Order: sequence, then structure tokens, then C-alpha cells
Amino acid sequence: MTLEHLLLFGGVCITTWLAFIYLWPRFILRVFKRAILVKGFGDGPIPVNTLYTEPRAFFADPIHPPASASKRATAGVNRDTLLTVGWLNLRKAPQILQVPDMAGRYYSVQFTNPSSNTNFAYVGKRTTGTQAGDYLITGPHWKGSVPKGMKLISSPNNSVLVLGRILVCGDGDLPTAYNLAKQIKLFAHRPMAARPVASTPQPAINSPSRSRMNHRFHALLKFSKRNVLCAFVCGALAPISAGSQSSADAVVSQKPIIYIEDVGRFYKVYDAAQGHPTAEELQRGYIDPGSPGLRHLSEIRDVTGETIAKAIAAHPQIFADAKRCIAVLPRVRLRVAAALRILGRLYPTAEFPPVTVAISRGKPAGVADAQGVVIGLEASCAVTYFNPNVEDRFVHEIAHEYTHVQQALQSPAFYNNPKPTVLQASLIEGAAEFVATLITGETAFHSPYAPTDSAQDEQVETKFVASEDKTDLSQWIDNGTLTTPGDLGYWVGYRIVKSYYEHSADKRRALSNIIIMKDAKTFLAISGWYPGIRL
Amino acid sequence: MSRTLSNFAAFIGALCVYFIIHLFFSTHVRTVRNDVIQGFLIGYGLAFAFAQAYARIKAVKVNGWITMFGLGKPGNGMFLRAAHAQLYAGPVNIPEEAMCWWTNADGAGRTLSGRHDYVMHFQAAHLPPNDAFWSLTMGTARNHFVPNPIKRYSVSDRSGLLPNADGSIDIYIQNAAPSGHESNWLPAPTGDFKLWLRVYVPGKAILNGTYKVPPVVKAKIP
Repeated sequence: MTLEHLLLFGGVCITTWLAFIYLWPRFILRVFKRAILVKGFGDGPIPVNTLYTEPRAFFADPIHPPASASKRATAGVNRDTLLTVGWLNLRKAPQILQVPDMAGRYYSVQFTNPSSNTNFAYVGKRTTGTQAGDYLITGPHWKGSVPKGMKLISSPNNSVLVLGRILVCGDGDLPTAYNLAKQIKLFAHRPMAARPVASTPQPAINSPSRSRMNHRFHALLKFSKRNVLCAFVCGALAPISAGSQSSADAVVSQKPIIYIEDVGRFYKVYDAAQGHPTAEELQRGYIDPGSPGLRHLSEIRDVTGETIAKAIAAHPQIFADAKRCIAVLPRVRLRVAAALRILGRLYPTAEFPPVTVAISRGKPAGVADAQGVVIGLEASCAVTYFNPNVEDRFVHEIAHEYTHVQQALQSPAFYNNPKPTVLQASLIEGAAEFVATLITGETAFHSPYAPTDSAQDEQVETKFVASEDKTDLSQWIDNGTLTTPGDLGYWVGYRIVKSYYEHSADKRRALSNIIIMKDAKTFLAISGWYPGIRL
Repeated sequence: MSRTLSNFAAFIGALCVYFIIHLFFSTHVRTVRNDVIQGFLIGYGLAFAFAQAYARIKAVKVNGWITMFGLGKPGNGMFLRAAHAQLYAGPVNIPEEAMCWWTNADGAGRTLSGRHDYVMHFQAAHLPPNDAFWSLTMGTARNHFVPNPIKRYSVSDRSGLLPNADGSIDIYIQNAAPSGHESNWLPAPTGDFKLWLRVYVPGKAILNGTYKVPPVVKAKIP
């Protein structure tokens, strides 16, 4: 053996040896990354920058894990702590870890650098105490100032494995521990946005009347500014279940059509006439070449060149103002498309008529029926009192209305009931709120009309139970005024639906049952909901 | 780390070393391609064997209980990190947060099996020192929970263990309920099993290595 060969062999050999030794932790953490982001633990993959808490049922009875639980979820024996896991990517923005007051309970949240499998920080009883707190987790290249009241955790790596452990003091303590574990949350840090004021409901104005099939855009949903915008819902990325849908459906679900082009055409006409287009100009330049959605709106809601011109004359500021909402449309289109794709995966029988964003005649803000969803941009844009973030508001509105489209198509008898009870109407709206929250990746439904604490919830919901069979909706739906937030039916409905979903082992079947609800009373009975339930 | 894996690693290591020695006396014509491929394979084998061997060296075994100190700390060298990966394939706590021991053998080194009855005896005031909690968890040989009539899968400072008259505590680890000692029973499967001792926020005596986990002892037949 010549020296050259010996050196080459020896060099490769030693390099490989050291490289494998060095990379070993990284390989192992890669398995965890895949387990979290690709496979999940039984409820579908866990989106990046979100936390997943092991199901309560699994901890309660580890011998009979839910059928959906993955092998990985059932590996290992740990009866001490509830686990919550997540994978962070800090490249775009820091994350905020929020922990509740643990009232002396042992817990820890471990931050692991996946390159070396070492823990660079802990939040928890040992290190930070058990009081509530917000922690800003920043990547290695982050520059900025730490918001007041937050503590900084500086990560050496943009990728971070987060692993939380919350002590369970016995079977009776499990609900409390689980509730606390679920309150450990992640939010994207967006320094420009103001911090949300904890659920102070803003006054709602008297809303325009709305029939079942003609929803005023329920605009109306305040989003937490800290919600994790790009997060996908648990299970959202799970493969489409094989055999349950035809390939044609799959293709459709890949491509929900979202038209926003009508808006641009409208403003071309509008600007060309310095804000005073004639009826004929509008009819010829805007309505006639319009998308199918616009023409549908035109037919059913009398949106014509003439009526628009009248509306412009009567309320010029609405049409002038609406321009500020145009900028968000491309992003809204992307996010709605993503949300509807998720809907298609979670609910393979979903149908996908188009979504159209157009200019209406000052109203309606939107219609949803079997033909699809049409949004009146100028009307929706004018409704600013709940969520000043137009993009978030539009995404949620469209997702909400799109759920109504599914209900209209697949459960028409229930959905179109002309004389619904409070319970039925609230469940229809609650289902739309819940599904919208689920598919848009909002971390929670933040309702402006929600009570501020669980005691209030109980009070409101006890009243709800008393009037659930009445057909007088005026106390529950569309009853907001300038000074008192209304629409509590949406909130209670949302909570019933959420309770049902959380109590269901098979989430996909649960989602299907939520959308194609047949009987409100039965649904309520099996939802596990009761007044004041903590969700 | 299991004995089988260690033996396998030793075998691979020996094979690699034999191959390297053999190379010097080999009269075969060498090519660059062979050098690279063989170098890679041998390097990989050595890395595996080395990591296993180093894990064995770094692991601390007391009374049959195996653990490793200093895992998960930033600044750990690559060799310790590789050893960590052999013992626990995952992100474990740093010692200050939690320590974890496991065993599949009794104090005398015999494999734990539900065919026998065992006792773990903690002397008075010698439960694992901690500022949070401790637990002893039962797993099958493949590390799954063990079904049992009382639905008890671990014993801990939260399970109401009854002390003996002298303040010491016996934990009865066996398949059938120990009559008169049900409160201190940790149900075992009929086959082989593993035990995990976890101590969260361990006390100083654990961190400096002076605390010795008591052995799992085969119960004397009365």
C-alpha cells in the first residue's frame, strides 16, 4: 500500500468518523423535527411555531390510546407530566411564549438547540417561577428592543425545539393541569403592532339587517394581533385521506378560485371619472365585463351601474375610503386560498364555488349561497370597528362565509330553516366561526362580543340555555348597538361547537358533523358543553 | 444502552480495526475509489463503535441503575453529545432540571421479570432528594405502559406510599398484588420489564453523585 493511498484512506476515514460523531445529535433531532412538523402525534402535523399538548384522554388512560394516536405518541412511559411540544422557526420573526400563572405547580419549558441537542434556556418553576409571564424568543440575528414586561430568551439557532412539561398531581388534577398546559402559548412577535388590550369589547354599531342567505359581513371579528398568522391548523397538512374523494375533487380543492380583479376594474372606471362615474360608464366598464361572482351579485342584489352611481353620489367617502383596503387583497387571496385548501383536506366533501371580491353598492358587505361568496369590498372595508387589521378581518370573514356555503350546499334544510331557534341559529353561526378559526390558522376565536371571563361566560350561557328554544333571536343574533356589543349567539355557538370538537376523538368526522349539522339538540347533547365550561 | 447494541458496536469496531490492520499487509491493487468508499465505511463503523464505547464509559451505573450526568448542557463537547445520543435518543433535561435513571436488571444484575417479586427499599429520609417531585415508572421490555387492575403505572411522591414503622419505604414491584401492601404496589407485567426513576429539580446529593439509588432486590420467599 502506497503512502498516497494510505493518506487518502486515512483522511476519509478520520473525517467520516469525526463528522458522524459531530453530527449525531443533529440527526436525532431531525427525527424529532420530522415527527413534529410532518407526522404529528395523532392529530396531524404540528405547524411550525405552534404548541401541541398531548391529549388529555391519552394521559388519563395510557393503555388505550385514542385510535388516532401515532406510535411515537405512545412510545415511552411518563406518568408525571403532560407534554407539550413545538418547533420554532425564528428566521422571520421572534416568537413570544406566554405562560399562565401556574400557582406553584411544577412545570418547565425547555428550549433545545437542534444542532447540538443541548438546552440553552428554561422557563419554569426552577428558573423563572410559576407566575404568568411573556418571554420573547429571538433568533441569533435578531435586532430590536424587548417589549416592556417581556423577558428575553436569545436562541443561538433559528430552529428551536420547545418541550414543555406540566406536573399532574393525580387523576383528579388532570383537568386543571391540562387546562394550564393548554394556556402555554406561542405568538408571533410583530413589533409594530400594538399589544392587544385584553378583551375589552368595542362598541358595535347597529348592524344592517341580514337574512339567512344574505349575510352582512359579519365583520366583525376581532383578531388577536398576536395570533400566529402563518400557522396551519393541526391536521391541516395531513395527506388527503385516500379513497375518500375522487381525483377531480382533489383538483378542485387545490384550486379554489378567488377573483379580486373586479375591484381593479372598478377603480379604473372610478378614477377615470375623477370619482364621479356615470351609471353607463359603470355598467359598461365594470358590471358587464365582470366575473361570474359579480354578475351573480348583480342579479340577486340589484347591483347595477345605476344603483352604484346612486350609492357613490350618496356616500362618496365609502368608495373613496375603500381604496385603502385594496392593498391587502393579494395577501388575502393567498391566505384564503391556503385556508380553503386546508378546508378541502380536513373536509374532503367540501365544495368549492368561487370567492369574489368586488365593489357593491355600499351594501351588502357580502353574500354567501350555493353559488359561492361575494364580498362587497367597500362595504366590508367601512366596517372598521372590530378589527382594524383589514387583512385579518377579510380572511376571517371569507372563511366564515365559506363555511356557510358548505352548510347551504350540504345541509340545506337545517341551514335554510326560515324560523330557527336561538340554538339553531347560534350553532350555524358558531360552526362558521369555529371552522373559520380552524382553517385560517388563528390560534383562537377572539370575539368582540365575548364575555371577559369564565364567570361571565357562565352567566351568559345560563341565560342562553333558558332561551335556546325560542325563535326570537333578538337577544342573541344581530343585536349589537353603539354601546353594547351583541351577537352573543355567535360566541356561545362557537363555544358549543368547540367543545364538541375537542371532545371528539376523530377530528375529521367531528368537523364533518359540525358542517353538516342535522339536529341542534342532539349536537348540543353530545357536545359536552355546559354553561361556563372552560375551553 | 442495551447490552446487545454494545456488543454489536464492539463487533463492528473490531471489524473496522481488523480491516485497517489488514490494509497494511494487503497486496491488492488500491484505487482512489476504493480508498474513499472504504474510508467512509470504516469511518462510519468507527464512529458508531466509538460513540457506544464512550457512552459506556460516561454512563454511571449504581446498583443496576444507569444514568449519565451533564447531558443537554450548552458547551458540551461533541464526544459527550454523541454519547448522550446513544443513551437517550432525544432532548433530555439538564441535570439541574431533572435526572433520570433506568434499569432492566436487579441489584445482582439479573434481568427484571414479572415471574419474580421485587422490593425497592428506601431507607428513612433517603427518598430521592428534590425540589419538585420524584417518580418510579414501570415499562415493559419495549417500554410501554403495563395494563393492571388498579390502573397504576407509576409510584411517586404523589401516590400516598405508606412508610414502614422505622420510616423507611418499601415499594413492591410484582405482577400480583402484594397482600397487605397494596398501597405500595407497583404492578409489573408477567414478562420482562424496565424501571424508570425520575427526579425533577434534584437535590445537591444527586447532582454531586453522593446519592445512591437503592437496588431493586428480589423479594425473599417467606
